Amino acid sequence: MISNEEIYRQLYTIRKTEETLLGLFSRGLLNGTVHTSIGQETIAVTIMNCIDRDRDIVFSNHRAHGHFIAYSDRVEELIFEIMGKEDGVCAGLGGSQHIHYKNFYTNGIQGGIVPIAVGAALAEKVKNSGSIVVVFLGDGTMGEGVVYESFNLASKWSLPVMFVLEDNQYAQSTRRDLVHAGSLSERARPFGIKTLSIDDQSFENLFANIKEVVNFLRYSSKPVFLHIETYRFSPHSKGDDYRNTNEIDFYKAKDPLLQFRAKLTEDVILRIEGEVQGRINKAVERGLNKLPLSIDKFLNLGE
Amino acid sequence: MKYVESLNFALSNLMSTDEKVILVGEDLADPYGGAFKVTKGLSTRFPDRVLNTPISEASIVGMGIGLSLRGFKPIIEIMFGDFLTLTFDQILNHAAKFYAMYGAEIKLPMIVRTPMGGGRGYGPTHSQSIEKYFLGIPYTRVVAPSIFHNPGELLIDSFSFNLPVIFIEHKLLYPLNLVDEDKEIGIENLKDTFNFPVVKVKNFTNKDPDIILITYGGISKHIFELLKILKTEEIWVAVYIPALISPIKFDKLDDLLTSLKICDKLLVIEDASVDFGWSAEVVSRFCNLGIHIERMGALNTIIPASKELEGEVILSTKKIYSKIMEIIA
Amino acid sequence: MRIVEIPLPQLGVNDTSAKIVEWHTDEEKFVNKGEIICTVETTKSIFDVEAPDSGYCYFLVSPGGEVNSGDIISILTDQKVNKEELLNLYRNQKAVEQRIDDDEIRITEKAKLLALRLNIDISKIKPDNYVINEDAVLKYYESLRSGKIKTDFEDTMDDLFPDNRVERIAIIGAGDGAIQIIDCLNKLSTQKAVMLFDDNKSLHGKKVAGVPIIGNVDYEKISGLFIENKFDKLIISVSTSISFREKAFDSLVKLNVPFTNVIHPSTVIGSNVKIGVGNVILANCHIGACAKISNNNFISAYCSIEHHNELYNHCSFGPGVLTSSKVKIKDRVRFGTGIFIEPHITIGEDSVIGSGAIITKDIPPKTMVKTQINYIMRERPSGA
Repeated sequence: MISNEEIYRQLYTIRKTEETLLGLFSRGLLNGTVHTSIGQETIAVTIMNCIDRDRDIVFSNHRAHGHFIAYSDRVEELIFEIMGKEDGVCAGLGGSQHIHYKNFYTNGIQGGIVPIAVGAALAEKVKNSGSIVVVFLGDGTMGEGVVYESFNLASKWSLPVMFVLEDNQYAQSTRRDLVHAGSLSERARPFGIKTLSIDDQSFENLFANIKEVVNFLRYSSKPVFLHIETYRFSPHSKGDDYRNTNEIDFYKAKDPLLQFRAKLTEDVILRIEGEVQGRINKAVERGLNKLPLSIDKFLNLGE
Repeated sequence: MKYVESLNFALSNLMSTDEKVILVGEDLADPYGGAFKVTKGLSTRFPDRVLNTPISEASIVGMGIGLSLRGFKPIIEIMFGDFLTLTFDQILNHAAKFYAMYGAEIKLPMIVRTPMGGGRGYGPTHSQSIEKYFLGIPYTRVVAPSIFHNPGELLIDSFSFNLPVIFIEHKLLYPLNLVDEDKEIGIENLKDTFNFPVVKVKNFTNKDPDIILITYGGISKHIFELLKILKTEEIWVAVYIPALISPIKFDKLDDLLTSLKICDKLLVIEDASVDFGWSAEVVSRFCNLGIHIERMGALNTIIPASKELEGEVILSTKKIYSKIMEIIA
Repeated sequence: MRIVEIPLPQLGVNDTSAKIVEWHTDEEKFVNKGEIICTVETTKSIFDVEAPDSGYCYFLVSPGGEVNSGDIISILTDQKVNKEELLNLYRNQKAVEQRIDDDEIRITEKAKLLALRLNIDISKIKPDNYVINEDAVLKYYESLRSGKIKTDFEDTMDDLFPDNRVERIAIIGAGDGAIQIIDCLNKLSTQKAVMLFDDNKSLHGKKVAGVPIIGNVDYEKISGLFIENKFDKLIISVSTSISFREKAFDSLVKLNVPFTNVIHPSTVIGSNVKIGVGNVILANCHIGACAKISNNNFISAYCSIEHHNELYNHCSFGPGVLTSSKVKIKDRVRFGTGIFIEPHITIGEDSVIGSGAIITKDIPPKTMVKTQINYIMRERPSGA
């Protein structure tokens, strides 16, 4: 079982990285946009610590920083990537939304990557590798048709896919009840997919459930749909938050990160936070001095 | 050997020598063997690697991408080329992006094969040649074998790109015999700069051509008939037929440029509705040579079901003949 | 004997050929109209073929054989015959039908195109085995160009003397001077006017004494026509403007278009006379022995250039200008009518000698000589 210190370090790394990125934007040092996952870190940390990171495969979406950091701990390369530098995860070409590292893949098209995740699961099943596939969805993603095609295929062909719906109640600026008919948590059940509804308030609860789900996937090779209630404290991208501040404050008070702070002593917290901050600051400093991929190299990627 | 047989044999050979090859598509399994029988017999021989899918074109291609990412070589059949529209996001925003945007480190060998073209009276949504909307997507390839090529070999060679390939089969070519030699026309195999075959067919020897043609795929059927007719009328024609139609890697072909110096008339022909199509792109590659260039394709409208009207909309040997005579006069 | 053909019926959209599965009757057996005579298989289906008429049935294809849409699979006859004889007859009939189509001469599209481009009347070409092809057209064109075959255009030029070509003359200027020249040429058997040029557009398309006025005095065009062999030599008929004569002459000489002389046969030319080119000498003139005439002079009727005279270039003489011996007339001198010049006189260039003058001393260049004559004029009385 992973230690509280380690969990807090992972959570805090994500939190601090995201806050730093938003800060860099305000200072005019970043280009493009980011979709931060402040408030949702627990899901990322839990899942990445339950799967086998050496052989399992993860597909994520536009809001993938948390997932990525929990999966790979490659904070520096993520920062370089978002800064568009050659030393970034994808040489600065993909940026925030389009990342690939080992068995971790993201893309910025809602739902588009879901059937690809199913295909990957099929591949692993044929190879008999025992690997499972995790694919992250948002409440907004549940509007896309390919998601349901994917449910059908994963179920019919019995593929080891963990569909994780991080339901933070909002798709960009739209509340989920304005655009979704019926119940989101019941979406996969008609396809015969085992479904679990849970929230991210208790880490132990979440961890225990996901561990069970991972085992189930690995040994039965059947898909599972996890509907996790959560909330993001940060705006959809940056500066575009029109939610009721009372609502945001309400959820901030229940910040899952605070659970862990409560479990640790002051000096441990300070140490961890100090280390993480130092690491991130250093990464930012280094990154600002780095160069982007040269235009020659870019045009000669090997067409 | 018939066009469809060439494909079937190639698939069979490929699957028996490379266990990473998987077929994915609708109605592929025996005894049906695919809507155009291209996969006949394969599900019997390789039951685990011919996957009959539900009608979910986007996901079928998505799954192919996932399979490819994880080390397999999927060949995805989309039953009618017209349905390729449902796969467009997967191809453009996923398959075509992964190589470059992920930093040019992964390989993505995958083929999406599909029949295109009219002439069977199947109506507006089962007769189109919409490969034109998939041309020019960076980091993809579009291959369209004619009857002068070896479709099976081209299918196998398409994997060598390690990038997504859209493989276009004109449905009228399926029952035809492939032509690699003929008493009346000369057939020469050239290569473009990606080493893919460009077939040169001509109906003369020791003469100067009256007109040069560039075309691909289904039009080759008309070319075969036309060259013989034009030969009896002493109209000397040289036709260049590439197999790789996107990107264009044949526009600097020595043989072609030499021909265009000798003969200053060029006609580019495509199956699809003519505006904004492949022929426009090809013409743009030669527009600075100061020669007379024209292009032709189907009319810019739907392909109607009525046989007579369909015949008016899509190209025919007669239409091409008239156009050639018009240009030469 | 009547023969009815049974073709393979129209197949579905997917097929252009089919296989004969089996015949449902025996060869030479009589079948009735509507009877099923054979079964045929395509890639998609199997169907039966009915006899379109009654008759004795003979097969042209065996079971298992493949036929294309429209091919004849069997024939019916109204008499029983030996199969081999029947097939011969049938084939001959088909061949005859073919020849009837062939009686028309076939001209290949390329031959037609070439003929258009080269301006050839294709009906003049002799077909080879009922075909006129590209080679035939090219051969015919070659023979035209090398002159072995006469075209209409050349015929009118050579109609009188096909073997000794008459000098075809193009005349510059379609006014009175041209009429005089053409009148002159009509008396000459070795020269003929073929075309005129004049800057007066209203004259274009008209004729002077049957000779067409075809266009402007466009030096380039005239040179072009010469290169195309449309005329042999030039002459300038304009006598009034010396500057025009000179300019036209010089320009065309520069373009290498040759000039000729037009001399009326009644003119007497003495011994050892040297004449340049471009000179017009009209009726009843006298050129004395050892006289030298240079180029581009216009000499009207009844003029006399006496012995040992030197006439330079671009001069214009009215009628009745008489010189004496050893007179020198320089460039661009203009003479009126009725002028006498005493011996050993030199008339300088660019001078104008008015009518009725009797020149007794040298005239410097650029001099105008006007004779003053006193007239008494009064109205003529009536009845006289």
